[in-house]
Amino acid sequence: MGYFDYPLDTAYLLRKKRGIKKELLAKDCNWIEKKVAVLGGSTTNEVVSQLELVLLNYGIKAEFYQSEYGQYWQDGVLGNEELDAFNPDIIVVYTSWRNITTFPTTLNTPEEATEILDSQYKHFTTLWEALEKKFNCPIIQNNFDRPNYRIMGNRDIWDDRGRSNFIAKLNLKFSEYAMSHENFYINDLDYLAADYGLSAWADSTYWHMYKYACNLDAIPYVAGSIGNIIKSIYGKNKKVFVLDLDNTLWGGIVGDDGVEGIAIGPEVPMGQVYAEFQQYLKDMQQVGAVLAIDSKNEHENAIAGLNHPSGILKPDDFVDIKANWEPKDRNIVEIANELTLGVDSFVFVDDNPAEREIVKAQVPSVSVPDIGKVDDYIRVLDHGGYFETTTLSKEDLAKTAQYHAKAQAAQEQASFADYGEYLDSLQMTAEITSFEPIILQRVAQLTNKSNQFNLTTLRCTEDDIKSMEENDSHICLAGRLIDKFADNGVVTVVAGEIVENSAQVKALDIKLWLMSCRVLKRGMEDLMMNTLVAEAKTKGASKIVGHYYPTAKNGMVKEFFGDFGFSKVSEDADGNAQWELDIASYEQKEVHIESK
Amino acid sequence: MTRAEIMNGLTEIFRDVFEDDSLVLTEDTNANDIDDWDSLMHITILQAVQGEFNVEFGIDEITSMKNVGEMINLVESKLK
Repeated sequence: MGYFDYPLDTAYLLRKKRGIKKELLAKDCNWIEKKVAVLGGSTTNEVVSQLELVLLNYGIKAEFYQSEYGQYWQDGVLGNEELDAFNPDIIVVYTSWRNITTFPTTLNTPEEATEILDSQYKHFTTLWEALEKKFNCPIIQNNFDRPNYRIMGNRDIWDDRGRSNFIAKLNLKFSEYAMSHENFYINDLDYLAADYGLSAWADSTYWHMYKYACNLDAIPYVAGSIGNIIKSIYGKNKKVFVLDLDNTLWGGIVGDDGVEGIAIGPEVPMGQVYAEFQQYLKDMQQVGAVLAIDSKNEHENAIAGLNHPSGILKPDDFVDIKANWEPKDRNIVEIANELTLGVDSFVFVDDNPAEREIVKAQVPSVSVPDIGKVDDYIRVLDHGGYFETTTLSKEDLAKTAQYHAKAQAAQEQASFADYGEYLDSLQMTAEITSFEPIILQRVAQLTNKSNQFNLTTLRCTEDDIKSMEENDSHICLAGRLIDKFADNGVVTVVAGEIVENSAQVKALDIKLWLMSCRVLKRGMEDLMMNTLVAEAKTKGASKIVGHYYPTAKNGMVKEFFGDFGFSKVSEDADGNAQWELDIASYEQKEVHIESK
Repeated sequence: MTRAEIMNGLTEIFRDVFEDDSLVLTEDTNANDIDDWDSLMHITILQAVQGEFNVEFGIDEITSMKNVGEMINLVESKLK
């Protein structure tokens, strides 16, 4: 039920409240029941109606007590049998600037203004203390909205006698009280009014006609805010943001545009917007939000994108990275199992409406807000109140690390035994050819584009490629990989030259070896080596010589030759290394790819 | 917009607000005719009517409204 996702359809919520309530009550849910006393300084009926809906949406069935109009203080301090008998689990003190009985005026000295401030504050502390003593339950207190008119204009905010100044100070005192008292929370009416738009909020028709403290249309937002505090107190906050990558965490599609092509970081406006969103998520970790990835991508591309130098979030910021071609709802369920959390504690964040629809339909208890355009993402998620913070612990900060360990353990258990099975399930076939005319262009392109899985970073033109192919002393191999999802095209290129030393021993010297990261960990490189060794043998070579020339980007293949049984024969100060293999001692690698 | 069209719009609103699809309004219908039509429900109705027809009622206009017919009059005059 999306009635409570931001932005709210307030007209609908007000008009259809009876129907919505019926619908919410009909849902299958482990209800918790709570008694909520709303002590009002203004009319509170609509606040209660809307709060009831919000709480039902969170699985809380609330029974309400409302004080008679304006009796918030009398009920608390002087006592009220009905309230005593009700014995609330939680108390909302619903007051507004209209309940401030005395403001300083320009006739007062600054000292007198301070006295007025103290007496207004004392009026409230007396109430809170009485409520705490009698009921010893959480208290949610509105702070004050500002009046939408200012007697002294701008001076109103800086002069001790101004109302704006007075309200700001009173709000600070409320905040200090909240900081030093357990079980005491502020409902930030000041923010809600500003966010709604003060002039519309303060439409005085509603006060003079019905004694509502604000525009009726704003009340669903106020109720939402109070509801967020209550559900947070009762442990119903969300715990995990499950995030898409392409066009959600960065602009563009990393698989197509490459890491260099995605928009993230300070260079362009689009990149800035995404960077700000990543920073928002990073900051949310401070209040215990846990981040996970659910993206249709090759895992390597996802990691490469997250390692973009201008990115704020790095792979380690995520407890779980599901970058694959599985349906997203299935990934979510898997993440939930690995973290041993319920999916109802997940918020799914994806720019693609189709993906959101699937998740909504398959795992309805996941929150799936319509996040809008990238410049709306933060506002929509923030206003959703998913991580309303009523308690803040050291553990919140360590949460990512904890879940990290949990997810890793679960993944190892789940996948270690059957990685081969997983590879089989991809139904891969490969076609290995020489540098045929039709692929010359692609091969040349790969030599100029591939940076990570590239042993020698030898850049070639089409002519270079062609002349290698035409030279009999060269072995040229291009590998194309097809799996059940897609034909990945030519993804790997290897070239070597047969050389003969003075003792007439033939060796294959590998000039070029690269592979697209899209197909990492598929065993394609194993198949290429098997093939290369076999070809070298037929050309009469007894040795293979490999080179690794380090660059800023190709650290991942530093030990590549070692994994195939090569021995390092030399390495210079810059890390340029030469490896050698005795062909006779080569052990065929087992592969899960069929050859065409 | 004709009076009949306004009446249709009002009927929709009343049915939503009172969660009663069988509700039928006449120009004479007033707060005594519908259970639950109390001052609080009246506020909800007025809010919905102003939103639906994109009009705004003044305080004096709200207080002088006695039945559905007068509500139609008011909406009609605002739409002119």
